[in-house]
Amino acid sequence: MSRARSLTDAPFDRGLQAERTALAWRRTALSLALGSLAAARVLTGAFGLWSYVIGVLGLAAAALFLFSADRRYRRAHESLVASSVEPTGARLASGGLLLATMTVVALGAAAIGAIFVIVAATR
Amino acid sequence: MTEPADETLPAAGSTPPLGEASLAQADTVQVGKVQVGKVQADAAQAGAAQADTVQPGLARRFPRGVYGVGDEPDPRFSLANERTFLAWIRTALALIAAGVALEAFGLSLNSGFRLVAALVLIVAGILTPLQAWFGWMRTEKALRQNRPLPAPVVAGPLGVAVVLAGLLVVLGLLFASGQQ
Repeated sequence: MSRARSLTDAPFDRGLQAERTALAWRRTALSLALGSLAAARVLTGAFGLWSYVIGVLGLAAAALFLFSADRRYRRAHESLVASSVEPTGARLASGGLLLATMTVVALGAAAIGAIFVIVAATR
Repeated sequence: MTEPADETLPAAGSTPPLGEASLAQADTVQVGKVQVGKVQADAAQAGAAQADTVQPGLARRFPRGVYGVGDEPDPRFSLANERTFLAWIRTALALIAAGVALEAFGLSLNSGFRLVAALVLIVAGILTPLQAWFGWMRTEKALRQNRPLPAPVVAGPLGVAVVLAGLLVVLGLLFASGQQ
């Protein structure tokens, strides 16, 4: 009886590690979405309409992180609950981590570029 | 790894070895004993008995530099490592946003100090995701090899950068000349 329940929706551990990780992805995606919107708005002075391209790309990355994190959480939860022996690291797509890294580096590079464009224009 | 053998051994001892069925059972138990002994020897030699626990294909996970070595750690540790990565990423976003905001909102600071402060923040915001990625890789590798965890490399420089940016903003306030 309790076993059947644990196979469906009880959390894997009391520390709620998988749940906390899913929430961490959510707030990261939210931060990235907000940052992208702000970049689209603020970098217009330097890049013109291209700043909206940056904003749209950032929003797309944020949406990708949001949905893939949800899907990965569900799969991680299922495999953790199904058998604690199975290595679940396989469910953590490290490609997403690398993509997040490169997205933020690109955003920072765009910010530096914008500042140099503005400084060059005002001198 | 030793659990199946531990379960079958007392069962074999309790049943008297009569007939073909029990002989076959004794054979499998012996095979199990030999396997366990071999694996334990391997573990003693290599320090890791992962040969029959790692599923085919899992060793080819990206990045191979991380997943090619060591043993599968407790998934909770991997998840915590992933959250640390995400915390660094959010830190980087905050640093970049702060740097851009400093320049974009046209605050009445000394423009030279303001520009340098913004650049310090944004450069820190570009280096921090690199810490996120390489720190995640190093930590995951250390977890797999059961080694002590590495310290975050950029923690010190990042603290210096934030203090520096704050000092530059203060200087910008002190030397504000009301332009822009």
